Amino acid sequence: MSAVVEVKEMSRWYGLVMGLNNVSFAIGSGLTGLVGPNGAGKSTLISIITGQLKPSSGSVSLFGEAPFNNPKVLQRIGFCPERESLPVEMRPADWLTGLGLLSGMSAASARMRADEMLERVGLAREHWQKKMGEYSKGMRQRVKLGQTLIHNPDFVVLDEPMNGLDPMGRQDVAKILKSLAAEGVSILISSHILAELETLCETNIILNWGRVIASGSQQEIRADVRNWSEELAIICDDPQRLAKVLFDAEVLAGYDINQQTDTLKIRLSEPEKFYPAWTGFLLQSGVTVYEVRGQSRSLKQIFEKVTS
Amino acid sequence: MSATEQNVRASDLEMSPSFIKGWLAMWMFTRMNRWTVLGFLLLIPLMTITIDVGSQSQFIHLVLEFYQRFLLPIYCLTIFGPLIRDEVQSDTIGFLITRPISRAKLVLLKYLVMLVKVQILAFAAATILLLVGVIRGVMVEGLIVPFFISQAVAIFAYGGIATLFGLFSKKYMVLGMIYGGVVEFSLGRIPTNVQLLSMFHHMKGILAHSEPVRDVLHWEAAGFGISAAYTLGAGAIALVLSMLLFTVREYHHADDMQK
Repeated sequence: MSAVVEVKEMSRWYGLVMGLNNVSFAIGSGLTGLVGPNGAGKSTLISIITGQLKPSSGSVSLFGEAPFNNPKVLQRIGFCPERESLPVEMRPADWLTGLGLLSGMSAASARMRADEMLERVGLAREHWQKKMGEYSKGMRQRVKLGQTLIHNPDFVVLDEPMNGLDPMGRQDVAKILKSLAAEGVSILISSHILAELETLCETNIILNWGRVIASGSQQEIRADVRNWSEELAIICDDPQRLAKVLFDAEVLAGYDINQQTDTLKIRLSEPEKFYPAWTGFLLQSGVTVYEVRGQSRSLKQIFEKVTS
Repeated sequence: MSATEQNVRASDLEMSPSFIKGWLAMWMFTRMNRWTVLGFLLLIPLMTITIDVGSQSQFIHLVLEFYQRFLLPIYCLTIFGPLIRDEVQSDTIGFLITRPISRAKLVLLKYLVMLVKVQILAFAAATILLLVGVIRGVMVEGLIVPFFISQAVAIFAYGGIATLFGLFSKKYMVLGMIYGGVVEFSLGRIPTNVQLLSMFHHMKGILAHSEPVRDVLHWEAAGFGISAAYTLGAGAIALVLSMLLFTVREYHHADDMQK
């Protein structure tokens, strides 16, 4: 996979505050999710990648070049910011046409693409003549997505693109992003709606406190996280007794008992200590086990785990 | 236009928009506050009503001392100061600086587009003002040409300086007032070469080509060319500094701008 974005040992300070701390990763083709809680450094990272900020140390390259004030790189980027501010006095087609012109398109081509993009992002025609100051959050989000795509960029960066959209709108956006990815466009999406990132993105980057906590495909991240701890659901005849034995053996990070279903859910603090001794724990407790289920983590659970 | 042209990828487009494309885009994006427009067109002409009929001296004081010396710089400050600053404060700057256009060119285009719009507006306002002067019988002989030249170069210079102040700080109005008080009203009155720093000093040299102006205000005429060159030069320097500042300084979220 050839990397579209390469970030090497990059840090960014705001005065004494560290926004990003020595992060390294690469983004290739397809859809990549950027996950992290507020203050994790997502916006800083996006601002650096889109050439709005410079890294304090380390390097970032897009298509092999630094993006800051570099028209050659910026020409190939489409950026959809999280902020909802749009020129409130303008109509969407005019705004998109202007941005198309700034991207080097001819006036006629920019005007046609503007209409085409407004159609593509599903902004109803009856709203096209309104000024954007009258738009709802969802409509603004659609226009922002339209301006991102007006010049057919090779790399698209979307900061919380699903914000303010209803479920249908989210589906529309997901469909557009998938079709773009199928066309060979690389896409980086930051979102707090993790379930959507999970279904959309093949790879993810998890940020916290300005550091990359985990990155790679979802399987790779799951494997990483599995090495740190594990969750199991055990159905047995006496979950309380089994819990006591495991607790005494100090292998639990936490547990939960469901009396109705005789289920013991455990979170292991030291899986490497637990699994070799598992049969011993069973013998020691004397319980009869009916079923053991490994808990497959959703992206949300992984995110909660690695950011906790 | 063919379908192929429609589906052309970003990497196949011209590297940076041509001057004309950039100009067209900025013409669409650059707007003037409607109250500023109304104020420009109505305020000064309305004030001529306060002049005694036939009093050229009062007209000269109003038009030159109040309008050109005081009001025009303030108009320029309120129009050019927010030129880029407003985009930053309203968080729309990200849409522009992530386009394939250099930051210096972005500032230059925005400035030039606004300059043309303000020149048109100021020309209209000055025409109304002078017409009212004619109607009230106070029009000054030989004032029209120096008045329009002085106004045009002043807008260029004050516009550049205000753009620089706007990029330098969100408190550009305060900076402008300090500049006005120190440079235009104080240094400009000291009869040494330091007064060359004052834009209005050079405007006086242009305006004093009208004899009644010389008689009433006791200003000395200077060469049109040298006075205009000083003023235009100062504006150009301020504009180049603005372009440099916008290129090297990071303008990001509104929060960053509070610093």
